[in-house]
Parts: sequence; C-alpha cells; structure tokens
Amino acid sequence: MNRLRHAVVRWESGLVLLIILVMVLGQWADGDLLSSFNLQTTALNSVVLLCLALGLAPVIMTSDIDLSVVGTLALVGVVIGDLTAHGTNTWLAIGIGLAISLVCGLINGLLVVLFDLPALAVTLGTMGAYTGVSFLILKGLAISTFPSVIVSMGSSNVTGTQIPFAVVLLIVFAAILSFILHGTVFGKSVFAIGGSRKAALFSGIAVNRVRITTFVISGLMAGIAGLLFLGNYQTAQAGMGASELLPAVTAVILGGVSAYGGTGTIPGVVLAAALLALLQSALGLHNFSGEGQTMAIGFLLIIAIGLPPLSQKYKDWKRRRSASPVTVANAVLSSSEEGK
Amino acid sequence: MKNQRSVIRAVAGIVLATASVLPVAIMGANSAGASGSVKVYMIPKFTGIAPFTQAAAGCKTEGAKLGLNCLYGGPTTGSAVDQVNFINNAVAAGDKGVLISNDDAATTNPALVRAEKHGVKVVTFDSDALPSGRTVYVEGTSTASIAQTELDMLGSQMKPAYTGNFIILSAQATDSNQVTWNKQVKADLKLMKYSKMKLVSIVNPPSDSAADATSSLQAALAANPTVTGIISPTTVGIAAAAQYLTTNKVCSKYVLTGLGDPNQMKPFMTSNCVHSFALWNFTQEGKVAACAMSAVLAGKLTGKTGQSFMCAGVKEVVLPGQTVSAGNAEVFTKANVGSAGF
Amino acid sequence: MSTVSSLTPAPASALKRVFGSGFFKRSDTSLLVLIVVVTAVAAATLGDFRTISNFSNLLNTVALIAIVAIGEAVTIIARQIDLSVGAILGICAYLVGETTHHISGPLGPVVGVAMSLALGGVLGLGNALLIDALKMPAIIATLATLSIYTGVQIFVNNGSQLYLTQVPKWLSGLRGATWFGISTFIWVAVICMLVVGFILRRTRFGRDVYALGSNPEAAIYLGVKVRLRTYQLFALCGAMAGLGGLLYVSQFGNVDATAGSGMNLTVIAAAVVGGVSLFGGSGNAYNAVLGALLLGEIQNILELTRISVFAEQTLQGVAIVVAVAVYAVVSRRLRRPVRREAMAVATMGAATPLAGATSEGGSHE
Repeated sequence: MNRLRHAVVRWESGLVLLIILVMVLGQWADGDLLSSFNLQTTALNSVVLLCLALGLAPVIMTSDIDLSVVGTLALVGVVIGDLTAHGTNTWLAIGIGLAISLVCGLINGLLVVLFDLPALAVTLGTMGAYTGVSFLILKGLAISTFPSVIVSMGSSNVTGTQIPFAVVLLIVFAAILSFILHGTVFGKSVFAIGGSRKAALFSGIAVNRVRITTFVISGLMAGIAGLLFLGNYQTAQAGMGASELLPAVTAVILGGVSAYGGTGTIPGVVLAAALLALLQSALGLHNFSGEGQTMAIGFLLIIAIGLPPLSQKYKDWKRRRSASPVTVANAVLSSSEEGK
Repeated sequence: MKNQRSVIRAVAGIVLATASVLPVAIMGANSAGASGSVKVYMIPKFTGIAPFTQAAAGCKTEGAKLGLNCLYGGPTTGSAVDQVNFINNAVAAGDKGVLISNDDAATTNPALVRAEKHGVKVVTFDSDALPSGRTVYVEGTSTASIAQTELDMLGSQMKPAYTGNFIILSAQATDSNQVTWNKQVKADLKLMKYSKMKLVSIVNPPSDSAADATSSLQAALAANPTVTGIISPTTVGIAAAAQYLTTNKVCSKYVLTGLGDPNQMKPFMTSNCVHSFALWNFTQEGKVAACAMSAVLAGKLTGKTGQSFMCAGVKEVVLPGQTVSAGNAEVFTKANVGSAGF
Repeated sequence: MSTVSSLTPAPASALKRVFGSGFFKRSDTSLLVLIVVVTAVAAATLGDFRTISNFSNLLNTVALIAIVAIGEAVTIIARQIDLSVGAILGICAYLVGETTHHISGPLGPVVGVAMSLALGGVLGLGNALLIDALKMPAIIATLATLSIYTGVQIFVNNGSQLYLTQVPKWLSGLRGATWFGISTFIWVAVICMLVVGFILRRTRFGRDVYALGSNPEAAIYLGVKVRLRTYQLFALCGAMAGLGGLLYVSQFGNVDATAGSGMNLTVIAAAVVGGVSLFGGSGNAYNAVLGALLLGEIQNILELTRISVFAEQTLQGVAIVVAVAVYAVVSRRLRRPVRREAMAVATMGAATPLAGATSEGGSHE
C-alpha cells in the first residue's frame, strides 16, 4: 500500500496533469472534445483498450510479455459471434467464449513457465495461431447481428444516466485488479518476481504458479475485451482488434509499469488508457489521418519509456549539485527506495 | 564516460521528443477550408488508392462551388470498424454531412443511424450502406451495366466466344459493392447469351493487398484447371492478376478483364496481356456525391424515386432504391487507354 | 548450444564450420531431410505441385522472404528482434522505385541496390537508437517503430501508388530474368546467404553477435562493444529488408501503401523454423533460407490441396511455437552445464536490457 501511495504522488499525478492538458487544449482547438456524444463514444472505444491493458499489466509486471492478447480477443469474439449466429443460447455462448480465453491464457502460461520458453517467442507464435484460428472459423466473412444482451453490454448506458455500462464494468474490474495487485500477497509476489525472479524463488514464492496465473488473467481480460468489442461495434470479423496491440502496450508502459517488470500501478494504467483515448479522440476531431494517430501513439510509447530514465538522470544531477553530506545520504536512501 | 552516455541519452530524448511533435503535426492536418462553408466529411473504404483520392478531389472542387468544405479521411486498411470511428469523429466534430464508401454495410449501420439521429446527413458513394443509415446512394455506374459489361468483355474474348469457365477475383468478402456486383453477374449468367459461360468460383482474398490477391489467385487457378477466364472487379485485383499472368508468361492462357485503373493497366495493354477493362470516372462520382449532399442538406433531396437535382449542368435523377448513377462505365482498349483523362 | 564454439576462434576448414558442433549438424541436416521428404511426397502426390511454373513461383516468393529473414535472423541471433521489417521493406520499395524511375542507363541498377541497402540500413538504425539510447526492450521499440514506419510509408505513398509504368525496365524485368538458367531472385537470395553467413562466421562483428546472443553479461566482460554492435546488426537487418523492398517492386510491379504489411510474422517464423533459436546465440543465414523454403512449401501445398487460404497465420504461429519448443527441449540437454555457469554470472553481473527474451532469471537494472 505504501508503494501505491508513493507512486500515486509521482507518475500518476503527471498523467492526471496530461489528461487535463489534453482536455483543455483539445476543447479549445475543436470545441467538441468534451461534448457528451464525444465523451461517450471515446469512453466506449477506450473500453477494449483498457480491458486489454488491465490484463497485460500483471504479465509485464512479472517481466514477461503477452503479445497474443489480440489473437485471443479475435478468437473469442469470432467464437461468440459464430455461436450466437447459429442460435446458441447467448449466455452459453459467452461462457464458452470466456472458457476459451482462459484456455488461451493457460496455454501461454504453461508453455512459457513449465517449458521455460521465452515469453516473447511463445506469445508471438500464439498470437498468430489464435488469430489464424479465428480466420479458419470465419474466413473473410463478418457477423453483424448479435443478441441484444451483448449489444447493450457493449454500447448502452447505465439506465437513467449517460455513462456507458461497459465503462462501469471496466472500473469495477480495475478496482478488483488493483486490490489483488496492491493489497494481497499474490500481488506482492507479482512485483517481487518482476524485481528478481531468482530472489523471489529463493524467498519461497511459488513463482511458477504466479506467472501462469498472470497469463491466465491476461487471457481472460482479452476474452472479455472481445465480448465488449462485439457489443460496441456489433461486428465480428477474423483478425478484429489487431490494431489494439500497440495502444494496449503503450497504455501499460505509459501507466508507469516498467518494461522490465517490478513496478507500476493499476490506477496508472487506467489513467494512461484514458489519456490515450482522449488523445486519439482529440487528434481525430482535429482531422488527423488514421496513420497520423497511430504514429502519435508510437511516439508516445517511445517518450513513455524514454522519459523515466531521463528524469531520473535529471534528478540525480540536481541532487549532486546541491550535495551536502546529509543531502547525499538522503539521496542514496531515497533512490534505493524508489527502485527505478 | 558515464557523463558522455547520459548526455547522449538526454540529447536523443530531446531529439525524439521534438521529432515526435513535428511529423505528427505535419501529417495530420487536413482541416483547412473556406470559413463560412458547411463542413462535410468523406470517408473512403481505405485511403491510398487512386479511385478514392480522385473521388475526394471531385468532392472538393464541386463542393467548393456549392459552399461545402469537403474534408477527406479514412482508415488505412479496409476495416469497417475503423470507419465507425471516423463516422463518430465527424459527428462529434459538428460536421453536417458524411459521405462514405462502406467496407461493410452492416457494421457501419449503427454508427450511421446514430449520426442521422444527431442531424447529420449521410450520402453513400461507391459502396452502399443499409438503407436505414443513409438518404441517397451515389453509384459510380449502375450495377446492371457493370455486370453486363464485365460479362461482355470476357465473353467476346473467349474462344469460342461466350463459352468457358471463369472465376471472379474479388476483394474482401464483406465489401458491399463487390457483393452486389457479383450477385448481378450470377443472375445475368442465366440469360441465354451467357448460357455457355460458367462461374466456377468467387475468390475473396483476406485483404486488399496485392500480395494477398496474387496468392489467392494462384491458389484458385491451381484448384480450377479448366478455367480460361478471370474477371476482377477491383483495381487492386486486376493489376495483381495482370502482373501474375505476365511474370508467369501465361497471358495467352487466360482472358483477364474487369474493373481497372487506366494508369495501372497501361503496360499490360501494351504487352497485350489484357485487351479490355472498364472503369468509370471517380472524380465525376465525387462531384455527383457532393451535389447530392448539397441537395440533401438543403432539404431538396429525400431519396424518393423520380426526384432530381442539378450537378455541373447535368440533371441527375433518383432511381429506385434511393440510387443516383454518376455516369457510365467506359470500356478501355489499347486504343483509348492513354487518353483516359482520369 | 554453440555457446562454447562461438567463443573460440572460427575453425579453419569450411566443412567443419558448417557442420560445427554435434547438435548443430544434427538439426540442420534433419531440416534439410525434412524439406527433401516434403518436396518428394508433394511432387509425387500433387500434380499441380510438380509443374515448372509452380516451382518457379514458389522459389521466387521464397527468395524474397528468405532475404528479409536472413536480416531478421541476425537480430534474433543477438537475442533481439525486429518487428518493423515489413514497413521498412514497404518504404524502400516505394522510394527506390520512385527514384530509379528518373535514372537511366547502367547507373540505375547501381543506385537502386545501393539506395535500397542504405535506406533500409538507416531505418534499421532508428530501431537501434531506441534500443540503445533509451534502453527500450527490442520488442517494444520495434513495435513502436512498426507503427511509425507504417505511417511514414503511407505518407510517402501520398494517397496514390507507384505504377508499373514508372518502374524502370531493368527492375520490372528482374523477376522474369535468369542468369545461367536460374532466376535472378534465387541468385540474390543465395548471394545474401553467403555474404551474411560469411559475416556471421568469419568476422569479429559476427562473433560478437553470437556472444551477445549467448550471454550478454559475459559479452560485456569479454570486451564486446555492445553499443556499436547493436547499431550495426539492426542496420544489417534493415538493409536486408530494404533489398527485399527492391525485389518487391520487381515482383508486384505496383507498390502501394500495403507493401510488406503482414510480412513480419512470416519472416520471424521462417528464421525460427529454420533453426535460429529465439534464445539467441545460435543459427546462421542458411537457417533463415531453409526455414523460408520449408514454410513456403507447406503454404504452397496447403493452397494446392484447397485447404483454406486463411490457414497461413495459424501455420506460422504454430510453427514458431513448435520450433521454439523443440529447440529448447533439445538444446537443454546439451546446455545444462553451461547454463549453470551463465546463471552464476547473471546473478553477479549487470543488467540484461532485454525484457521477455531471456529465460534465465529476471535480473534487471
């Protein structure tokens, strides 16, 4: 909890500032960024992104990576769409879809952890495999009619308000995940493993079990993302959601999760996802081309990773300049506490 | 040493940060336009191929005469889901009208309906949406004439004439205009004239890229050895097919025709690999779309059969199905491909 | 695997070099055998497979992939990865085609080849800059550059495309031309394989690449100029992708903004299936070629037997996972003693700036 409070003061406040900045600038430049219509559609668009990012965060925190989330998204979406199109009971179809997402995550986990294969390689392969299976199922076709349950889950508002139901659902997920990662022993293990797998092993943490669990979580969240995608866009097509991988990874890194694992917070990821969605919306309103928006996200990712080491260097430089024995001692103590 | 490294890193970071702002700023802006004019937004199936760039140009020039500021933008791949985002952005930005060539009619429908509910007028062009999502559809040329022209171009070159098996090398399976045209071809085949021609397969590559079109064609030809004819109603497909036939030196074995971009097809006509293909003027289509949008915004056009409006001196009439035809298809042969004018 | 052999001076005889350590010989020969078997069976059972036109199409397509895969292999050997090769190929294809359009005479091919290599190299350096200066893990850095370069590619194409009429004759004719009866594409692929193979096996650069891949921490202690090598190997990878772009123009005639998209997984799969281990530290250029050949053949067979055209991605994905698993399992038996040593070094030593690619511990900065 201490780490949480500590981090909230630093990285996350920067994110909040950026969000406010984008809102102000965007509203001033186009005047429609904060209209309720735009906020609603932006929020709905960000739901898929946030869902993927929430699942990715624990995996990256343990210094693994999971590229296959978009493949799982596509596969689950296609399966649910195909089943409901053939008359299967909606809830059964959803259940099957989510079960498949768990299996996808489990496969990743087993291959990476038990076989000790590099996560990058495995999830690159499973990304292709899962997406490929979605192509085999649906070929080039698209499904466009869905049961109203799914549609309302993905696109309607909570009764009586202007807030989309999916956003509320995601906030609940984020809260749960936040509690798990920041308030339980499991969560502490996640960070410990990210810090140093060997040290975690020697401390008696069930490293394998924790790592497999993070992959399963990532698979499950990807499946839920697929379901919400169906409801929001009302379309199921093989390879859907493929363009969400970069934004999802960016949201996680921008949210303060170190690319090497060991640090980060869930609130940070939520803020980062919101920032990204707002930014994309502002760029879109300002008539940025599709590729311009994607490039902007690419640059943002670079800045997000490049900034912490740079800011750390700057802080060190400042401290060294005002060096008195006490300050230096403090600096040494606080830098070891910060970790990165 | 360490200081050197951190200086390099700092400089690199600053360079990257600046570099990140510049291209993004250059690349994005598309919004300049006459003040006081009504903003409308044109969304192609995907950006990057000449037909849509031409349609946008037509919309801009004709629109300017009518007081419309025709903005243009769309996804980089034929993704209907991405089109939905562009539609939503246009609505949120306060644009009064949306012109769209749909990647998938069913997918864009909810967004278009929502747009209309917000008072935004929708005119489709090139590839239609579901009727509930738009007021008027501007087609490049009528489906009936496309289908007939394709079959005539193919049949007349077959040996013996109008006899043989053929495939259609199409685009993504969800493209609504492809689906409509192919359906018409299938219906026309029942006519007496084409009774000896047989459609063996409709090939849908996974994407609109040349590489996928080529490999899909290769697979289809290998799987159907009795085929002697190929109709490709997409500019990407016919160009890829012509290239494939040329490099494999089998131009004489197949009759290739369809809808093509004259600029792309010129070398293949010179080499006699392709003898004829058709297209219509996309710039003209863009102009008619702009005129239609202007009329719809003025309340003069509601899509009822028989209504009419003027466009650049020509009277356009609304046909059944809220459809307006922008012109006629032009058949290109070696003789006139150089003077296409578009 | 070849951890030991990579740190010793290259053996004198070429044969010994090719059939280096025991494991190496076994995996490559078995792959060759597999390819021969698959080809034989397919030729015997599928009439369409054994036609000359099918073979020549297959080999030309494979050649293009193989060239880019050779570059990718270099990065994988160094325990890095490059996801942006497809976009680099696309940018080079358009720009080189566009530029050589204006150059006539024998200068054309020279400029074409030189420009494609140089432009690709520069774009590759962009990747290395992010990895080195900002200490980004290769996977994330190249994910970012993939989107940026794709955007540049679209911008450069400017809503249009490069038409066949604008492509100079020497380039458009390259695809169908043959030198001594063998297609030019195959010649280029073989030359690349020999040159890069030579670079990897016989130069200091090559040895350092293997050292970096086998054991990054030890490499630093051994005096390997890590930063210089990083820039060099990504430049090499980019250059190969650029050359692939030149051949792309010849193969497809038209170059639009979709050139090279979707190639990234194919190229990585080719390298990995061919024997370049994703653990780093082993493999060579011919592995990439073998892998491209095998995958290309299987893809071709799938098409001819009318199994869905959509099976391609599944095939590549599964192939990567299987290849990684197989090589891991086999190599673990040979590697165990060395790995314990490496682990000891790792717990003592400095950082591995490559998240996700290592399987030994999660030590970090």
